[in-house]
Amino acid sequence: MTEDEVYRASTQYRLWSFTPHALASLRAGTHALAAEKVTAARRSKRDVVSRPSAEGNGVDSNGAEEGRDASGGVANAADEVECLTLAEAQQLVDFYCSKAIELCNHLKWPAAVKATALQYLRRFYLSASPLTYPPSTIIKPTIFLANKTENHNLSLDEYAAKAKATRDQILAPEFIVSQGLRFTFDVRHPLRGLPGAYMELLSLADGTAEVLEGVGKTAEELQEELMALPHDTKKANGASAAEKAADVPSLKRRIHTAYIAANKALETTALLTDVYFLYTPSQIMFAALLLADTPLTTFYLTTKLPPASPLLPRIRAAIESCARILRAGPHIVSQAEASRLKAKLERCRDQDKLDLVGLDRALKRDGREEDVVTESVAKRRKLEREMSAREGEELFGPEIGRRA
Amino acid sequence: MAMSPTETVAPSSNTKNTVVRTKPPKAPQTSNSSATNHDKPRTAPAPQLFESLNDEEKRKYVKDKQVGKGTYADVFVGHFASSPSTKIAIKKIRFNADFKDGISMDTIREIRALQELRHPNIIALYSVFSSKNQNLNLVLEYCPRGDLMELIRDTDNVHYGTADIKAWMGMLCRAVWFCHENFILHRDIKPNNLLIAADGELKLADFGLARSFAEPETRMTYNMTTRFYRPPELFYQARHYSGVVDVWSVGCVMAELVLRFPFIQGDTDIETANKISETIGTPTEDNWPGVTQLKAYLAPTNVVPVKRKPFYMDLFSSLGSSGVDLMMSMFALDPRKRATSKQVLQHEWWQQEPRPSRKEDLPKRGGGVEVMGDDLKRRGGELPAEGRADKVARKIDFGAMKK
Repeated sequence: MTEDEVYRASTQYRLWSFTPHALASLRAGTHALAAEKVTAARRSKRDVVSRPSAEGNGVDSNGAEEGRDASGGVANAADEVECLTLAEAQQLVDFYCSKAIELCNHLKWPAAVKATALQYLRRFYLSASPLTYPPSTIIKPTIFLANKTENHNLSLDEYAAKAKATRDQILAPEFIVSQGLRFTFDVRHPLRGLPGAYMELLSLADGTAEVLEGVGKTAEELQEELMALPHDTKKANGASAAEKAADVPSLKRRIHTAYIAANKALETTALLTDVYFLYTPSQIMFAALLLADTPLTTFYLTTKLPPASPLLPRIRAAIESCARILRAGPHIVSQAEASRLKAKLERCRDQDKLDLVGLDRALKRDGREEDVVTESVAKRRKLEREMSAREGEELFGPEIGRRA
Repeated sequence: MAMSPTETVAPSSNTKNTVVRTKPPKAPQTSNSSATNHDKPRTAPAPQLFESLNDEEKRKYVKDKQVGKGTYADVFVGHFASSPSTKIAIKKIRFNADFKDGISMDTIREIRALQELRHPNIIALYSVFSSKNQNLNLVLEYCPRGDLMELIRDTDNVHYGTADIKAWMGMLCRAVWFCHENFILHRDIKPNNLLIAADGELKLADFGLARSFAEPETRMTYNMTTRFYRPPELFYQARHYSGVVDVWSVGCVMAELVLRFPFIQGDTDIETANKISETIGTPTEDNWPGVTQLKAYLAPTNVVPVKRKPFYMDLFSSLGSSGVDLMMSMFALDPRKRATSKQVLQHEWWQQEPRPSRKEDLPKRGGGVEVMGDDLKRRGGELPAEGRADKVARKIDFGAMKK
């Protein structure tokens, strides 16, 4: 069993890896479905509102606006314009993702919890739209869920106090988020592999690395090559850019600098872009290292595969395209723009999901009641099942002899 | 032997292996996949909001009858809607009014681990869906032939030999190795978490205490694993430990298969820790450097030297000399000297006579569906229900066996 096979069995690969095209169309489809629901609900509501008797129930400015649309007769076009566009919806998600990072940093949580929380958010919004579940109501519950799945185990009360939210606000959407994650909680992070790469590079610098078969060089030869590596000319490191690393200590400093930079990219940029959906953790890790120190990382890669391996160009291409995304970075809108988007979202939200806390309470109350009447419910369901089973049989004609 | 560990190509470096590979072009194995596009891993799934995805999942399974009822979960036997002859077990986690922090940790741990693990000796999780009042339903593999505890304890009706033990142990060890290969610690290995499928295959179940390997600095909790199967480092409240915690438990199961009662028993944690000291040997700085630094380490009043091979040969001669070697490697007090799950599988015992029994020839008495129901409804770390535990609470005086 290879590492590849282990990774391919993971939910991250099976459910949460996409081509760029598949990812885009998934998001577009989700947005279209949610927008359609909002528009349809509005249309039917408008029909109701236009009848004077129902007007008293109109909630806020929404109702009034729609009333005006309705009186105008043809309001379709106005409705479409009002809804957040796909791009705006994604901008809002990205904006709140950056807020989620701030909250995790404020809580001083381990990077793994933060990274998992961020990935949960991005996964959740693949099959849910901000129109239905505004990110402002989802980020705190999601971070709390990651706190549990990553065994960080801060209690709800402590978290609620620190995150400035009520218990209900955190718990009510938990189930919704878990469902949106399709109950897959494991996230494989490039952050996890990075210290391994760091240690391997250090042992290469020491000349004590265990060389993989097929590389065809000794540890000492690799150490010499590493010493002779040029610095990244594009990096504005001043005078040191032109120098070569002359000794082991300066080489180690260089490796450490690259490690810190890569780590930072993996804790920020990587979490705010789509790289997790498009690349494997090791590809992302290498991409972050590549951005931090290209010659070093390119060399490191050659210690992993025989020089003639046909895989090498493919791997390089994958790492480089991932690095391009990281280099471009996330496009987080300004606070002002985010406020505008939020205001716009308020006007086009799914009216069924306005009060998640209330909905959750209603569900749980029903749950308890149902527990009390379990037997009768069970009986009813059993009858229904038998009925449908019988119907199923009848579809193909009665079984001979069974009817007697 | 697709699951054989000998096929791993990890270099034996002590740093983390970071071989890069390209994202494979192969289609995923899920049955409903329609990916045919060659250089792309995934075609776009039809867009759906997640609520409808959940309903779709729910409709794939049918509950037939309840076979277990507990405070934590109810267990049903059911079948695939598309294939009525394919049975399943549905574990319906009860909405828990006592746990105030949302979805319980046991549930999260179990789902998280089982979603990632696909192995013939690990109970399969086919799906998770929620029913309308936020009950979680875990659709699990159907294991109608009870559990290993039933087989071990039914000394009147169930007779088995070393070949059978080797077969069960082989299946258990492969499961544990596979967990570790996926960076998951089970932390609750014991005979009643080892279910038997219809074909005799052993299935490691109940991942309610499982977690991923922690990052080096992260602290883990120590009050894990049912007492009789708990390794000494957890009694001493170690906060950093590894896969070999599970290997100790596997050793306990191996011993129990031979003895037909738990090897190391105590009524309290302290008593059990003392039993380890009496039975295996007293942990000291000599045999376990650093042990005295562990938080709950108690300086022993009398030091029992670590037991040597003759002690084990007396008790477990049926396993043969190399079987005893294997067991002793799992009972190393110092976790750093204990065999890893991979080393266990590489042991020569597996190659020696007798060959392990074929799974279809293994004894199959067991308690059937009700036992599965009973096992699945439990929360991790719980002992079986009173009645079953009482029947088996036997003690052995190891003091008398010394010499």
